[in-house]
Amino acid sequence: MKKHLFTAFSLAGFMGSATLAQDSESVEWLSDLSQASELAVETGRPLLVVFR
Amino acid sequence: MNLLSLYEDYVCVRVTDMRGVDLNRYAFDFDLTFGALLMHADGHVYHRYGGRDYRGASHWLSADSFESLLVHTLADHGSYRMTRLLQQPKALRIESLESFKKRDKGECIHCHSVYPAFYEDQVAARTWDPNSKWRHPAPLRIGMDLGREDQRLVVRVDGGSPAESGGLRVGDQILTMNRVEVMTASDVMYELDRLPWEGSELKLTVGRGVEDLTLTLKLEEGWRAGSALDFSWRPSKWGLIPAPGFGGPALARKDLLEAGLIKADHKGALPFAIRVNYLVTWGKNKRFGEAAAKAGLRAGDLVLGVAGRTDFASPDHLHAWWRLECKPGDVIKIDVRRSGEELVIPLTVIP
Repeated sequence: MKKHLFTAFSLAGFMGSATLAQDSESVEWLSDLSQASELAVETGRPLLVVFR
Repeated sequence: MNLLSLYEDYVCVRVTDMRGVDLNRYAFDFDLTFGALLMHADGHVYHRYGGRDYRGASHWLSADSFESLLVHTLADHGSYRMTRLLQQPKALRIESLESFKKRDKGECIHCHSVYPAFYEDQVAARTWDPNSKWRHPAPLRIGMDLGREDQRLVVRVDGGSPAESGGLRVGDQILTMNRVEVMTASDVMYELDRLPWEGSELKLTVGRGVEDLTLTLKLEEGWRAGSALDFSWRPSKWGLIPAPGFGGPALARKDLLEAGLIKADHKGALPFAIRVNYLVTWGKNKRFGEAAAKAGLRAGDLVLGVAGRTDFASPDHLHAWWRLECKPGDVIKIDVRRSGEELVIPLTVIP
């Protein structure tokens, strides 16, 4: 399962949030939709799919 | 609560390549440079986020509104029960389109390649409907505008519009559109996109004070069509023809001063002026650049007006206008300044 490191900074920076941009913690984001859907079924979590 | 902790309650996916993506399952305004879908694994989309209009990509983007949406959607997810078997439309992938297959080099496919691919495919099949380019109509199309932080909040109602005629007021909160819950400008635009060109009734449930009201807006035939300015931000415009065959950046203030087009104490909007820094000499549209060159346009020219218009808001606006308003055979007079000399270049639009 390929994981994609996509910092909260880059997302927040795009959205213009200076406060969140200061946060250096990374969030691991998947890049494969099928595997994400499987994980969503297994865990019962909703999907957040960002196209960017 | 903050975004980072909220992400842990979701399975987060970032898609940067549309290859392999089912465009019917993951449907949003593909012209966006940032779009988000909040979904159940069964394909049900709770909400969309990231929509925009000509005023800018970040007009409805903010960390606070995104955070609110994530919180709200968790509640939606908690109470979601599939009430009927979702009828999944047949999967549609851009790489399956015949016109795209012919030029597919296996490279990354950007979101904004989707609509041009549809256009090429439909033109080739002679099924292209020019009205179909008016996708995901902005709220202003029906005469209302929405807040940035609370995107259900109506912050403007235009006189004489379907919104006003239907009884919508500033301060109303839009709760549902045709019985679908909306939370964001993207949700609103998606629901508007489902309504036909020929016109329709649009039922809104709005919160007004302590009451919930149902309003009915009447949309007349052609309601979806906007102006060239409305369309100007869309990258899919580059795929439409006819094209001017030239382009360049708008002159900045200092360049306008240097060219004598404004005075030092100029206030307000800057006058329209672009400096031609390219004529299209490549690809399938090079005939437009060749036509512009043949008409006499040159790189370095200052374009000060087109067809008597000097009110273009941006180069994008000019490009959208040309593609939407100009027809083959039209002779478009271009007001040019070159080395201090004023010229008028007549450019015949070609198909």
